[in-house]
Amino acid sequence: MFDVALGSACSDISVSTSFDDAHPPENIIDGKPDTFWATTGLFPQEFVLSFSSPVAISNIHIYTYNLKNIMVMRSTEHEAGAFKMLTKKELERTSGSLQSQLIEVPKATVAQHLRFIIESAYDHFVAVYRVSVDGSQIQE
Amino acid sequence: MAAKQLNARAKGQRKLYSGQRQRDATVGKTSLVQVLKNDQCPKTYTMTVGADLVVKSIHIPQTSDVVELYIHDCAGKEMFIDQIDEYIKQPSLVCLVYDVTNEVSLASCEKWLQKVRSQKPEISVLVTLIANKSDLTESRVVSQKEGQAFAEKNNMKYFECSAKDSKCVEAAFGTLANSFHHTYLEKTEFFKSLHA
Ligand SMILES: Nc1nc2c(ncn2[C@@H]2O[C@H](COP(=O)(O)OP(=O)(O)OP(=O)(O)O)[C@@H](O)[C@H]2O)c(=O)[nH]1
Ligand SMILES: [Mg+2]
Repeated sequence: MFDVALGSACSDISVSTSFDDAHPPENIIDGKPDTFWATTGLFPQEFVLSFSSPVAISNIHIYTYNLKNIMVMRSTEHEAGAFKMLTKKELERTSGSLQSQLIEVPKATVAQHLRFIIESAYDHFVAVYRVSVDGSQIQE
Repeated sequence: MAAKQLNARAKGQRKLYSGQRQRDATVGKTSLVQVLKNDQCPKTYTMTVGADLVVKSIHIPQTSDVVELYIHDCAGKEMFIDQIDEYIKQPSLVCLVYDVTNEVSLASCEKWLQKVRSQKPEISVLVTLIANKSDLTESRVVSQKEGQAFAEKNNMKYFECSAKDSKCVEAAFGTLANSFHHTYLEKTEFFKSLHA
């Protein structure tokens, strides 16, 4: 079991609704604790984390700021699409420290793409510092 | 809320999206938004029903950044209030408009301000006040002083505009866009001080 979301050959942020050169979506999976993806206004906002092949997931951990409601969906297709609901969470507001949220998923959850939809927030802008996914690549 | 761009990866350009709302019947909200968008004031009055969406990109001086304003031009008539509620839930910016020839329209700005500020008191929303129809000097009943005092008391920026003469419209919306951009830079600067 290891963090399969770490930006390497096998994972990528394939879609994001905000893009600022200074705080690009790649920052979510660069393994650095102090870089982040910033949303640039309005909600909902979303990003899709894609793996090069299907992954068996045991849990997901997200580190954010200002986030209120998030919905996580998964797709088992090779091309992202036909997303199915995984879970919804409402996070507590923090001030001066990050929100750290463990997202447990049902046993044997398989996904090739994870879609994170930020539905609402505690401020105009949200920062996503890191998403880690505990899981293992499925050998085809 | 507003439409969004999937895969919005315009490199080298920072796009900020901000929704904003306008208010009260026949004070000239639609005219102002049309002047901003098309440089043209509509010749005839068409009552707005519900809310119309107008998107306007504003370049931020001395940067390569753009703020894309999603302007919800709301109906002023009370009967549409339920349809508007949806739009004023979480605005990024608010622009209240009154007509300088109509005392009541200023009073109702106060009402709308309370409504906006009570929605999500934890989120600070920048509000501007536009005194419209400043070209109608003859029939003017609300003075600049009165408007300014109301704005100051409620922590709003004040602009005196005329949609008819295209006066001050760009300045008013430009200021909103600039403030939003400034807030973004401030917030992301703060985000940099945090880490996982
Ligand atoms: N003289 C003058 N007339 C204006 C100005 N702006 C708008 N008007 C007129 O005021 C009337 C109402 O304008 P609208 O822009 O439709 O007003 P509105 O606030 O959108 O009205 P609702 O959609 O019903 O809430 C129209 O007849 C406009 O031509 C202005 O700056 N000067
Ligand atoms: Mg109108």
